[in-house]
Amino acid sequence: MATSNPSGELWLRFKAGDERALGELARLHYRSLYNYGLRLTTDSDLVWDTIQDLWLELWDRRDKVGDAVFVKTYLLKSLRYKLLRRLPNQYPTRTDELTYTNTPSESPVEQQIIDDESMAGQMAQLQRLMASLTKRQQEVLYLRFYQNLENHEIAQIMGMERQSVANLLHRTLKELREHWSSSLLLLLLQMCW
Amino acid sequence: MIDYRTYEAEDFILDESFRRWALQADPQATAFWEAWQLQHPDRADVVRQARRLARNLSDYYADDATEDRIQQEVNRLMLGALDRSAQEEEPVRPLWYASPVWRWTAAACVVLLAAFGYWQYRTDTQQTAVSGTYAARVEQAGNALIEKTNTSAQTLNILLSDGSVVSLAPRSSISYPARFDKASRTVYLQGEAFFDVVKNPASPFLIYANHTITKVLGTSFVVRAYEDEPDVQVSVRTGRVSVYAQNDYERARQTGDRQLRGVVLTPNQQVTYNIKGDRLDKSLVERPMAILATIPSREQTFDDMPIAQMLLALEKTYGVDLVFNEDDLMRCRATISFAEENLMERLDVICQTVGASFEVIDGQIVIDSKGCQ
Repeated sequence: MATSNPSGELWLRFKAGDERALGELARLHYRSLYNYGLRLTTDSDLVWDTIQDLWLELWDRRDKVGDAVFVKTYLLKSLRYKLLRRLPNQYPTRTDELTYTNTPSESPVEQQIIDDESMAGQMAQLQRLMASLTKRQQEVLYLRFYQNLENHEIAQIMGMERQSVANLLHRTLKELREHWSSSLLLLLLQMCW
Repeated sequence: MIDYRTYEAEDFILDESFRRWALQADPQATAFWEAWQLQHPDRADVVRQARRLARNLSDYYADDATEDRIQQEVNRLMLGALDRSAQEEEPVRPLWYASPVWRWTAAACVVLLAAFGYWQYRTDTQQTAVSGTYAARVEQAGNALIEKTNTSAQTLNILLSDGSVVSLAPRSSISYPARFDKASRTVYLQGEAFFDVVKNPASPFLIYANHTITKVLGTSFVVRAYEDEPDVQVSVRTGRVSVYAQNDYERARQTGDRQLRGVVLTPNQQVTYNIKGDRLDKSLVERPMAILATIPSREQTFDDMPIAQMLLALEKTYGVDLVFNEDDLMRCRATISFAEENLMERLDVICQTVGASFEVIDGQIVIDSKGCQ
């Protein structure tokens, strides 16, 4: 997994107007960007198109961007900004407390977990657990887990304080752990792997 | 050194080294974590849980993008970027080989190769020695093509599914699919034609004509390639095209060579390809080829004119059929002027003024309007 260090020579070649550097750079970051886009919307066509626009705009402004940019953080942040502006229903950008719970609240998560035993069932369990988190919690967890970013980078991308990211991540993990440790982990332990 | 002894499952899954071991079998991480587990057998359960969770989470975050799709998107991006660079440049550069134009041509060729790699590979595996003649090319492309031959003494106008217009000279034939696929637009020409190609960086327009391949992003130009003539000529009226000898193009494709020799043409330049000598020579257009004289000037000025009349004028200029409600559109008026715009761009502008839409259906353009707005 590529970490978010400045892409050095490649970035400088890109800035100098080398189309091949653009291609290599895009190749390097395309999946990360697309995957991140899918966290923000389910409209994959919109994600593909927005990434194209993002790169082309960056290409147009290549002589105006800095020499020592943390490319990955910069790209993810730009994509987030662009995509959220294009989405019809606004993503909650300020309050952490807005919970978009997709789970029917009457049946306890644990009961559903015990009902599912197959691999697909495990995925369904995880999906339910994730859906019980707020969007911001999901995003923080995702940026840390999938994109391998540090708290200060996540803070930059999501426009938050570093400390708030740390707190949110901590709270998210605590919530997940409560579910996991109660029954999911027990169940997982019983399954051989 | 991090003290992992106090870690719970969720702490582990947030640790990058742990994830590299759990998800990617990274040798360095594997060595570390196997040794660590041996030293801390009491933590085995927690590690196992964490590893399981890491894998589930990783599946949860999986996306549907194939490597092919990503490559396609990168190609589309490169073409888009080249197109933008092209627009920034001066329209004509006489010292083309010393100018930045040449510098990006190499990149353009790379993109072209990558973009058509799969399609070319398919045709190539069936037959390695590809003939350059029209008949062989058309046969190889399969039977899904429509063929038009101009046996009359006048230029024949043909509307393609993407809205590009081909003006086919007498004694000439063109084969093209009823519907272009998304990734490329390929046609086969024998004889001479004037092309007015709709711009679409994501889907380059390729013309195979007697041992040459002309690649276009969106422009208008003439290709002259009669099989009984020793030369193929391509000359450009607007925009920019790249011309390759078919031999070079295909050899480069097979060997993966990035240094493809091609010639980039800008307005009022032309290239002559000598089939026997397998050489491309570039020059300025001295005397426009015959067909250019038969293509009427496409500059149009409509001053406070009913939309219906504009559409009738477009029909005449481009020699295509437009289907629309004449009564409705006779009442709406507008003032518009066009110079280099192609048919689709003109229709876009006209339709926008009255909130209409249009569609290319079976070689004609159907305009859907709801009166004036």
